[in-house]
Amino acid sequence: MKTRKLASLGLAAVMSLSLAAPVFAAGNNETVFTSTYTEPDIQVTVPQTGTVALNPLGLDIDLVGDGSDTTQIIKGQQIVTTPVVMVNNSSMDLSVSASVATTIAGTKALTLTKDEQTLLGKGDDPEAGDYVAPKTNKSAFVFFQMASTTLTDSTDQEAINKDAAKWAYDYTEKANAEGTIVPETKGVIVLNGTKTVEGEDLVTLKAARDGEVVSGGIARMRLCGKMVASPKNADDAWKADDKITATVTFSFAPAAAK
Amino acid sequence: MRNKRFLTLAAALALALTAVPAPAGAAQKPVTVLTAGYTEPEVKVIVPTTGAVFINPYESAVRVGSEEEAGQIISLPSSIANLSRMPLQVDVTVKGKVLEGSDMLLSASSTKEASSTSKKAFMYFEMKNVSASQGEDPESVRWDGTYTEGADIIVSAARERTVKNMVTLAAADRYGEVTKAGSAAFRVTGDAVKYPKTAWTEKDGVQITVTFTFTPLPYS
Repeated sequence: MKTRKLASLGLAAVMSLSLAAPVFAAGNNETVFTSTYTEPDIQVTVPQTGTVALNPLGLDIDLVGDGSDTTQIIKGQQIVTTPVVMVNNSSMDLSVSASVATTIAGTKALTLTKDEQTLLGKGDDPEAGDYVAPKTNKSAFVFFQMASTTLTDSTDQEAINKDAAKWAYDYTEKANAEGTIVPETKGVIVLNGTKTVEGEDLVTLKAARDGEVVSGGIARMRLCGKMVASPKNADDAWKADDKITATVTFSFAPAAAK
Repeated sequence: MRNKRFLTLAAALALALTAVPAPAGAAQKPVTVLTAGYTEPEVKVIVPTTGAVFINPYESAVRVGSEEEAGQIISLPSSIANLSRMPLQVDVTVKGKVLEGSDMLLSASSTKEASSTSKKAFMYFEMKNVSASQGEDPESVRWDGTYTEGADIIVSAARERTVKNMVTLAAADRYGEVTKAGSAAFRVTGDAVKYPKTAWTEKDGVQITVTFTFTPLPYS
């Protein structure tokens, strides 16, 4: 029996020594864990350029180039962007933020208003305290806007055009607690001709599933707004060299779970 | 030693999988440049280059299109048509010039009430939209036959006269076809002294220059 006990003890000691071998081999009693962060692989397709028509008279604009027989028409809008979309190919939902830097060109440069009310005016009675006279010079109120779509194929230009043709002018604004007029519509950044403006969480792009873009994974974007249709003074008339360039820089963050 | 390295790597992977990631994509900031430009809308209107006006003081029957008329100043039907994609405001300027060799005069008012024996004609230009109710045919436009100040333009040799926004032409459709109210008929009409002291001759006549100005209007 004693022999058996000794044998058992000896075997246990051997087993223990073999398990603890690395510590003995290193000659210390520490374990170091090294943790590293791997940047999630964000794969978003963003158009490099986009074309926008300044259309003060709100003429019908045909969306061409989709190869279909049914041309889509954008009706009655004064600032019309040829449809462009952003696509999320990543495996996570993404919140999209952006900053917009604006430059204005033209022999007689147009003026951007800070809100829609400043352009269109408010009220009919000039004697009223909150009356705002509508602009009559070469002015425009322009904003960058994003919104999610149910599109799932960014190469289907016909579907993209149909979607764009249905995207009505949907901007609204309100006065905040300080009395400043701010956009009420989500996904909007109002352009400013003298400084870069930023907007956070403009839209959430749904994650791709098994590498396939899903509904909500494609967002549409545009410049939109209003303009003085016919400036009062002849030298204020809209000219072919009137131009607005908006450089939109996007940033992405994994969207918080909802 | 090899086992230790393996364990360290495994632990690191396990931690990485459970760690809350910092905001991702900070380094990824793609840019889209949106360029907005203005293109002058193309104004396309069919305007006749010539027209004919008959001075018919004796009110003889004159065939105009499919009908006979017996007025003293009679025009062949004329019209303009808008092929543009936007509605147009039409301003009209009219200037008259008595033909060389004629001793007739242009009157600034109707000659009907006056007992003048001068060789005078009162001519005015009028214009109206061709509507569906009138068969969309310039020839079938119904004119009221009376001069309306501010709406019609008296033909004067002394000075040109302008009426702004005489009519609005509706936009053409998406195929460039003229739409309802996209055309307007016009004519010169009026009256003349029937029996002037100096009789009317074939040398009498007036050259009338009508200038149309088209201004694109906002689409409603």
